[in-house]
Order: sequence, then structure tokens, then C-alpha cells
Amino acid sequence: MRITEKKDIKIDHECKDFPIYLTWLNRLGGYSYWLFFKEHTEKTKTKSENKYILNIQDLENAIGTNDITGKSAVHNILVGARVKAEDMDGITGLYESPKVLRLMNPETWETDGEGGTPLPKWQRVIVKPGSIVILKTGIDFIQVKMTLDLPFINTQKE
Amino acid sequence: MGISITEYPQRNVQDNPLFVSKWSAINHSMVFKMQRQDYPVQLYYNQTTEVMIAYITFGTMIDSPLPGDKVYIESASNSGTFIINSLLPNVFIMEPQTINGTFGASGFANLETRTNYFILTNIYGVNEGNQYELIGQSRNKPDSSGRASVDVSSFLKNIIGYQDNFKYDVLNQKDGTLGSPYNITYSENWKNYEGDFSGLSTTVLRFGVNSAKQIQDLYGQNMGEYVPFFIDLVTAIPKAKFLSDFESPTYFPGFPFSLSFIYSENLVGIETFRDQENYDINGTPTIVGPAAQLNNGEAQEVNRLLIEGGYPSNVVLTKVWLETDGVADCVVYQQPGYVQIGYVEELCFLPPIIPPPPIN
Repeated sequence: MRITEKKDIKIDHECKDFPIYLTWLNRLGGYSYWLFFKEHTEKTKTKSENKYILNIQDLENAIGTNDITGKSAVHNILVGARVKAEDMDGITGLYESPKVLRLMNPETWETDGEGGTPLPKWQRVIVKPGSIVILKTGIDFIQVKMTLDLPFINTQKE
Repeated sequence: MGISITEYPQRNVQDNPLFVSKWSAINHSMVFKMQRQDYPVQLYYNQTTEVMIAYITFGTMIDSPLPGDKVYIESASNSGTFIINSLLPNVFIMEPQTINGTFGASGFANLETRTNYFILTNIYGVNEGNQYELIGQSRNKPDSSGRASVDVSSFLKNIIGYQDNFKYDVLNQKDGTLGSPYNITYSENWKNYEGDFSGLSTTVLRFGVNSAKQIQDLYGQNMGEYVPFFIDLVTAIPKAKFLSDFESPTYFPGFPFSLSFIYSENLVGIETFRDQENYDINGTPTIVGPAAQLNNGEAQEVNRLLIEGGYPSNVVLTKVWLETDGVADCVVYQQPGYVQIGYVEELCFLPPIIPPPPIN
């Protein structure tokens, strides 16, 4: 006897270049998945910490006049996709989820575990807040763009 | 009588009491409504003298009220606070008092001499070792009619895991980031009195899911739409939904994928299978593998479920569902507490939950 709905799962066989594979905790308390590919841009954003002026006594050998105690850096990725209107309910869930993870070993996760077993490595990302179009009548596809803030980059500090 | 629970965080699916969902979204209130009832009483009210007499019908008086003390009395049709005029064994005789309307023949009496009265509720989660673990205590003071609401959701939020440890190497596995079983015990307390806690079932649990429901959702904060049921010989079973925000999720071959679902207590001890039908681009069914049997030891939790995978390129859609015929699923367990090495026992239900260690 069947005890659940019959869940349709579409299978996308298309080869994907530069995959960004995400999973997220959806509102219903389960995990959902989406693969962004091709269209993405990665950036680093830096900020200087505590600039100060050097007290120079040996002008001849001085290498500078001011310095900083460190630098903070954060990478982000702008991903984009042309999403079927019927998939926008899930993509909306991704945009609204507080817990999003990115697959870090997409090429090797199936064998990275002990003895060649699967071991996906996930890294927390934060979808930058803002707004996206989730419904537009009369069209079959919606162009989606979102920025994923990656973990901070650790740098040397004084 | 003490305290009774008058309302649990549960809903009848399709308004059918056969299908009780004890699964609630932990991001909303999960309220147990409780009723303090010190003594069950038979009530007699003399319209002429306006004297109310209340006979205790069960148990004996453990308090020592005096004339002049106040008693709250409630029946199905009326309630009021009365002043004791005199006492006989197990009988309160009240001061004359005008009553609006009529009083029912039976009800309960709460003594206002129980000062600083409160209900103490222990909330237990179940840890990896299948043992109850105290996760919090709630102290609630009932209102003047003896009613209290105990919300356990905030306690459960604290035990929901954050790390996704599913390795996509087994058909189904419980996931502590998605929900948790729990249970409660409760006691009544007042000045110079500390009551015993109610019993803690080792088999019957309640459940929280790490979900956030929306206004006007079916069953409110209850997850009834997503709970699978099985009752032998009952054919009209509600079909549980999977925990996916896509109407039709997409599987990208070569990438990890799972469906999340509630592996409910209704499926404990019975064989459950994942079934699939594959379709090509014309909507024609193609060959599918045999049904895969789930690990029943993972029941009573939110689970991750793998789909078959390895689809040939002509397969563009697969339909996935769970089914059971109610056949017993007996699993061999190493029971805790046995000293003989290798001693195992076959159980056709989950092993009972180990009681918690005593609270210091």
C-alpha cells in the first residue's frame, strides 16, 4: 500500500560547466538542492583594519610612512540562472533559507570518504539579502541572480 | 487528582482520530495545556440557604484547610470562588453565596491555601545512545481557574543539530538537523510541597520538526500533511508529502541528492519500501529496479532518503514514493545491559528508550 505522495523528480542530464551546487534547509524542515552553472563571478572584498602612522627616525632606511594592523577579506560569488517558472517555489526557498551549504568537492565527493566511499564536503554560505522576482505572469523562465557570501578569509594580523 | 493534560500539540489528520499527528514545527509554539484539579467533587447547592457543599469523590484530603480559606470550584456549567464555613472529613461546607445560573453536579475544587502553586515540567530529548536526556525545565503558574500552558518549542530548538553529516551512502538515515523526538514529565508544587513527576514512557514519543509553517497552512503548526500512517485493514490512508519546497525537485546526476521525509512512529516495526517509476521524454514508463527496503531502526525521526540514481540518458523523470504491506520488520539488536558477549535479541519494534539518569 502506498503511504506517501508520488513525488516527481526531474532528471537533468545536461553537462554543467563551473558547477556551484547548493543545498539548503527548506521551510518544511527538509533539504533541497540546486545546481548553478556557467554564469558566475567570484569577487574578493577587503577592508583595512586600524591604519596608523609610523614614527620614522631613520629616514634613509624607512620602507614606508604608514601601516595597518591587518586586513579582512571576504569572497562572494554572484550566481545566475534562467529558472523555469515551475521551479521558482524551490528557488524562493533557497533565497529565504537561513542555512545554505555549498558543495566544495563536486568532482570527487563520491569517492572522498574512507575506502573510496562518498563524502561530500559542505561549506556554509550566506545568500545576500535583497529581493528577487519570484513570479511574473506570462513567462516560462525567470532570470535569477543572487550573491553568495563565502566564509571570511583568514589573514595575518599584527 | 493533581494535574491532567487537556490538550496536546497534535492534530487529527483529515479530522480522523485514527490519524493522529504528533509532529509539530519547532519554530512555532508547541503547547501542552494542563489543568490543575486538586480534588474531584460532587456538588450540592441549596437554592434557599445558598450553601454549597462539595464532597470529595476520589482520594482523601491531604491539605489542612481551615474555615475562612478560599476554594475555587468548577463544574461543566459554572465556576466560582467560595469561602469555607466548616469542614467534615472529605467535605467542604461553604459560606452562603449567591450563584448566577446553575452549578453542575460534579466538578473539581482547588484550594487557594496551596500558595505559590506551580507546575514543573521536565522536557526530555532522546540522545544518540537512545537515552532520554533532560533538555530543560519549564515552571508555569496556572491561572485562577487552574489552567496552564506549557510551550516546549524553545527547548527543542536547542537540541536540533546544525552540522549536516549525511554521507549519501545509505538508503535512509535519520537526521538530527531536521527534527527530534521528545517527551515530558510534570509535577505539581506549592509552598512546602514538592510533588512526584509523572511517568516517562519508554515507547510513546512526540516529535519536533525543524520547519517553519505559514499562516493559513493546513493543520497550522502541525506537520500532519507530511506524516505517513499505516493501520492494518484501513485502506483510505492519507498520503504523506515529502519535505521538499519544490513541487518537482530536480536531480542533477553526479551530485548528492536526497529526499527528506518523516519516518513516523506509525511505521515502527513494519517493512517500508522506497519505490520508483522512471519515465522517458514521451512519458513512457521504463524499467525500474526492485523496491528498496528502508532501515526501520531509523524510524521516529526525520529521515533522508536516497533515490535510485544511475539513470540512463533517456530517463527524464522518476516518481518516488514509500509503501508498506504491514509485514513485521524484525531487527536484531544488542540490548543494553546484557553482559554475555554477543547476546542479541530480535525485536519487531524499536528498542525502548533508556530512562534518564536521576536529576541531581
